[in-house]
Amino acid sequence: MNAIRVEALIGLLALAAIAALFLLQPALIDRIAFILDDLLVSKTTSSSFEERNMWTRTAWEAFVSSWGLGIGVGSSRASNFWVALASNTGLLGVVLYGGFVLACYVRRRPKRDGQAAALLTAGRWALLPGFAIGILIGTSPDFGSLTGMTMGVMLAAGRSRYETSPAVIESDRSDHSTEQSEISIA
Amino acid sequence: MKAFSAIQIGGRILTLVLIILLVHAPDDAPLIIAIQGTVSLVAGFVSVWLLHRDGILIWSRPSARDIFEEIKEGSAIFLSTTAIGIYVNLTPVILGFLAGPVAVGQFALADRIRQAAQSVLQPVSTALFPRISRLVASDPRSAAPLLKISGIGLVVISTGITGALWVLAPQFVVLIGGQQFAAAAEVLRWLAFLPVVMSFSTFLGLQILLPNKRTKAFNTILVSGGILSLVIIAPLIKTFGPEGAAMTLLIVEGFVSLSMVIYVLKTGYFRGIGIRASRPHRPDPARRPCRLSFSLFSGSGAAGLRSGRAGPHRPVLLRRPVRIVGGGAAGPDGRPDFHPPADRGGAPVAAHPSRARAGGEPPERSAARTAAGAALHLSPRLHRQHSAHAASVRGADSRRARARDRRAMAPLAPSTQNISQLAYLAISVMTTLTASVGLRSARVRAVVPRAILAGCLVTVGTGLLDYASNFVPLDVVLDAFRTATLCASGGRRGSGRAAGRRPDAGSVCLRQHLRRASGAAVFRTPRLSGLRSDAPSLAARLRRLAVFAIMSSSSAAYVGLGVFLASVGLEWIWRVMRFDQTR
Repeated sequence: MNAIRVEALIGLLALAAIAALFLLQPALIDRIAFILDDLLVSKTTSSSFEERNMWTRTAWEAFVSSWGLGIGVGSSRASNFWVALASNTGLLGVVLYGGFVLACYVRRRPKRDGQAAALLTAGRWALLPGFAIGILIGTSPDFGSLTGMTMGVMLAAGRSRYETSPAVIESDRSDHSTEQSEISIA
Repeated sequence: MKAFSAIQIGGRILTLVLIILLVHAPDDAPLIIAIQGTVSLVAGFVSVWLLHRDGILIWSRPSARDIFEEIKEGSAIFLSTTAIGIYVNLTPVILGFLAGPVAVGQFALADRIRQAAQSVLQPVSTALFPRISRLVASDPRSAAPLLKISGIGLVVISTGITGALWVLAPQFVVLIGGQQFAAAAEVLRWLAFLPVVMSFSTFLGLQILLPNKRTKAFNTILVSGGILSLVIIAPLIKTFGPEGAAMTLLIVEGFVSLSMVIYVLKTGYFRGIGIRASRPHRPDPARRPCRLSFSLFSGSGAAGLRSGRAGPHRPVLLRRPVRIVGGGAAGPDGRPDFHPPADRGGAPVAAHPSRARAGGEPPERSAARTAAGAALHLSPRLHRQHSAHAASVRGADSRRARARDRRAMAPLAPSTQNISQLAYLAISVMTTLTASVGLRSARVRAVVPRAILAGCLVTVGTGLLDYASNFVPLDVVLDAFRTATLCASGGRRGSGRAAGRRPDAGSVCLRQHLRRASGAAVFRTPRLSGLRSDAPSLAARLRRLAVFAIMSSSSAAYVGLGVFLASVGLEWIWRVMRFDQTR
């Protein structure tokens, strides 16, 4: 039995277990629904939501009133990463950052390097939750070190659309091994 | 080696302890010298005794010829030390003579702070110098990698020191010297450039010229620097006071470093040992956006930092107001006008209502607005105390009107918020660039999962510490490390916004997808070459995410968790459908 089949079996069993739990304990549904309502649906009436909404609105106004040029890094705060980016760095910053993210996503997987391909795929998926959270609570145009590192890994691991040679550079390997030995001696 | 390190470190600690215990008043100044001297003497005796005991140091009576040879060989260093002394030690003396003790106090404080920050580099030079000297003498080609690493390391670290000193100069000066020394901040800002400038002379002088027996060139450069110092120091101090002394040091150190760079490049030393200035060009159009973004980002930051407060006595270089000149004509009516935040009830910036009308705008007004826009974009923050104007200096305006415009121009200065955000963004951008360049090698990439795990653990640890400060008095220690993450919640305790929760969640997501993408089943370890998994299973990660979600009062954490689970499910379906070729 291959790994995918094992996973499918585990997934189905988990779903069945959850369904059985809800059937045996119907009160759980109400409880979970209450929590979700309190945290997600009723959130729009909370003071936190209003405050954050005000940040986003003000930042967007700053973006618009600066004719789409932005008002400088650190000059405004929002509750949405993209609005914060727009208000801080302007349309130019949004286009450049968006283009950069896109460039990371359109990198091609190297065919002969499984490790690099795995890293590229992992990066593509792993950025999604961060993007979602950023849209909800991203206060500044700083995308964060971890997102940066993930995108850096994707750039390093993937191949350019125009590149024909594999991303792994043999000379780099040898350089690195030399450097490592020197460091350890020093 | 461990014993000697222990003696050195122990000696420093003992000195510190004795000074704290015994020195209480200004009259105790001689006691400080006595403590430092005695401890150094004792440490030296113990070190010599250890060397003798281990048979490393064997005493033999030197002949007169041996002594002469040693002095002759070492005289080059003595000469260079004397030359350095001219422009380092004589500067405060000449400053005191020409500008008085107050100026000396300001300069001395600023220079002390600079030296303290720069001392971070000392251990690097001390540790590497003997080994590089030996390698350069015995096998120059094998010294090349170490030279490369140490050179880049020195420049990178010293650039960081320079940046920190420049940005935080006012805070450092007030913290160490008190409010009465606030004026020394400007002196420190000049001296702040010394670490990065001196890193070149330290690297080239100590690690290349001296080990290669180029002492004549080394001494010539330093003596020339000393003479240059004597020529320019008086007029600069007379004109600028203590800042002139700092300028002198900067100019002389710049001259020394530049001379060494030119000398080493001209002699072709790097080519001779196989160090290339750059790697062969490998065209990669996909990296162009990265380079362009970085260039624009760093350019914007530099433009913002260049600006500063201007005043009648501060018309020079770094404190000149940023002035963006448009190509068209614009009178007072056509000039884009921006108001300080205070006038807008705290809102960051807005165009003047009379200029906010769209449509039917004459071209010259558009040009002026473009200039204003450039100023807005290039400066982190336009508004501090005054309105800022972007004005055209050519066109239909009269000379008087243009002069009035220039007078009305207010300086553009970054606030601490701009600087801190710029610093955070810089860290992220640098991380991205470092990862994209440094991880091109498969061997290096193999450590990525472990690095993520380490970062994840540190973030979890700091997050828990932060949360624990709600119950345990840890604020005294933690306050120094708190960042804007906590400030965002208004510094409230019990808000549940544990620092670092989001990065940790990101780490977990990346690790999970990495396991999956590398062909591993949910509960099994990846077997792909080079990717070792030492992280807990998906279940353990979900537990950890759940703990952080419970600690959080933010619904975004739940949404993030949901998106993460959804992405895991989607990725699984993707693989089942055999879209993914890595399986």
